[in-house]
Amino acid sequence: MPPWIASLPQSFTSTTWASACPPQNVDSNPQPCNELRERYVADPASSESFDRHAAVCGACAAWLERQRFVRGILGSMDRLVAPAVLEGCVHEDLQLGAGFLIGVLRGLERQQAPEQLEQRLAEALIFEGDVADGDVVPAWGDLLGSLDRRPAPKVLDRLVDEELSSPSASVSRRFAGGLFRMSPPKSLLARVSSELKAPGTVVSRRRWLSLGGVAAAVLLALTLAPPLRNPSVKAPWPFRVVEVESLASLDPLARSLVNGLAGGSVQAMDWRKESNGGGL
Amino acid sequence: MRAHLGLLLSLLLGFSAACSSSSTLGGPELDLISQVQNAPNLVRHSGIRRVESRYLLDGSRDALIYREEIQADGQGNFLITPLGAVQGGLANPAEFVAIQTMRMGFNQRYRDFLVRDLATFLKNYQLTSASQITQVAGRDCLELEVTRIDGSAHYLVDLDVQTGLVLRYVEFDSTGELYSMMEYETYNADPDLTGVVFHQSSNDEVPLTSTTQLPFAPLTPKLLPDSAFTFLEATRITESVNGDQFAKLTFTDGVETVFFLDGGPNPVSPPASTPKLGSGLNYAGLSTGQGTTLTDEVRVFHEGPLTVVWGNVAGHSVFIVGKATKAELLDMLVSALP
Repeated sequence: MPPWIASLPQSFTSTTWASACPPQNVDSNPQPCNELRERYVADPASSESFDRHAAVCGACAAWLERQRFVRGILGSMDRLVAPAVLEGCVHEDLQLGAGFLIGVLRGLERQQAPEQLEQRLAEALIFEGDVADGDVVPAWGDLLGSLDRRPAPKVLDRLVDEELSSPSASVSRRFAGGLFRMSPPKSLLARVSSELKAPGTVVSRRRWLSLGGVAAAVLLALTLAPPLRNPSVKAPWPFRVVEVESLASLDPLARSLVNGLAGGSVQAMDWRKESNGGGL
Repeated sequence: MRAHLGLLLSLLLGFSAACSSSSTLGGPELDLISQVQNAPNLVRHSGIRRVESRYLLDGSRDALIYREEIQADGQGNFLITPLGAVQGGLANPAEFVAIQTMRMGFNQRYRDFLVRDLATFLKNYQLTSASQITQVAGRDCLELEVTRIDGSAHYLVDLDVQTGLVLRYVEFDSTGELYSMMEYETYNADPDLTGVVFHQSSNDEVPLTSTTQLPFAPLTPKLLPDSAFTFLEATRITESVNGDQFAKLTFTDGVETVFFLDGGPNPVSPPASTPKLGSGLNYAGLSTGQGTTLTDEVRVFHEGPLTVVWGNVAGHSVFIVGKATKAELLDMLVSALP
């Protein structure tokens, strides 16, 4: 028995092969049929013993006919030769790693999809049913080409620009932002409070001055740093953005939506301001 | 009830596990979450609810507190009857009741804590529990602490053990202060709903399945806040006064929603100085006062965790609101531009 058959799970080897050869057509045991078929598959040239068996076993006769049919089909197909460079590149890939093979594969001539596939796609996607004789079936590639080309959103440009200008910062921001934010333990708050209340922690005037100096320096650096780092920084949004303190200019319908989401608090602010003599 | 409690506890364990791998969720847990998701519509009940919404004005904290009665038939019909403000309402109680009545549909759909999309919820939120049973309106509840993974939202939610209905939730802002809450004060599991006239939608809002349903091509965002949000629904709203139409796209992070409204092309003439109901989404505030209209300008307003963006961009009147940052909403708007 060939090793690959022996390695199959027992349930496969015993049932699948046996069911192909009904017991009534053999000597009450399918095992001889299986062995003969395996021998035939391994060496079709020495088929005399199997031919003799097939003359008395209907199932094996049918099996032999199918085998010859399949063999005939496979044998009649054109044999395509792989490009010579492919063999070399496969060898190099195995020796040196991936890369060369991909290059070769990309360089191969692009094959057209079979006509039948185009037709099936058209049935499924365009005509939602059978394609009539008069229907012109467009090629799948043509269909894709005929679609409107949509530009990427402008914000993507900015985000990609930020990503490329400072990859490490972007990666840090992305991953840090996705982490679960833990609350500080209450004991820490208690310790900080008690430390601040302790008489020994009163900060001297001189120390306040030095802290103020450091803070001013940091503010100055933060103000100057962006233009120094990237003088071509543009406004992040392609429209003017105005921060407002009230919803007064908002359409009442939209304002009602805001109020709904805020549980009515925005309107309550409005009422309170009105009662104080002002208005939102 | 013990069986329900067992399911809830197993749900809780499933949720905790879901933080690392959603594949550990089993059938019963998912079934129960579906129950929580749909409970407001499928649980027949009535009760008195207390709603509280806090805000910061001129440096001091204040609150709007009011009561309402909910009646639901368990088949999607409901009626919310405002019972008046306890604190912070209008001087004229009837006016307050009228305004709350007008918002009935919105409050039922969007105001309260609800799992709106299970997969997105599991992706964005972490659940923890002290595994203790609490009592709300005389009902056994399981209290869950629901926290968005990025820490931007935090809730304490009490789920009715038998029905999965949210009987109390408290929402905290980023500083840990109470932002809003809702609590059932009474609960009737077998109400007499004879003669109740249930809510009828007053606005014409229909699912938007094709852009041909609108007289303009609506802007559609391609970048959602923090990648945590996902598309929930698209509708077309037709205003009852003048028939103006706009597209309303709703996105969710599993609990919170972001609305993106496009009112289509803005009129060339400057909008009126005073906005009126039914004027579409023409934002009067964009007038400069010198007879010209600023184009491609948006205004940004913050209220607690809520950010509101509105204006006129690329010839469209747009309005975006949700619990997201200014940068997130503006990036969302830019991604929608042609």
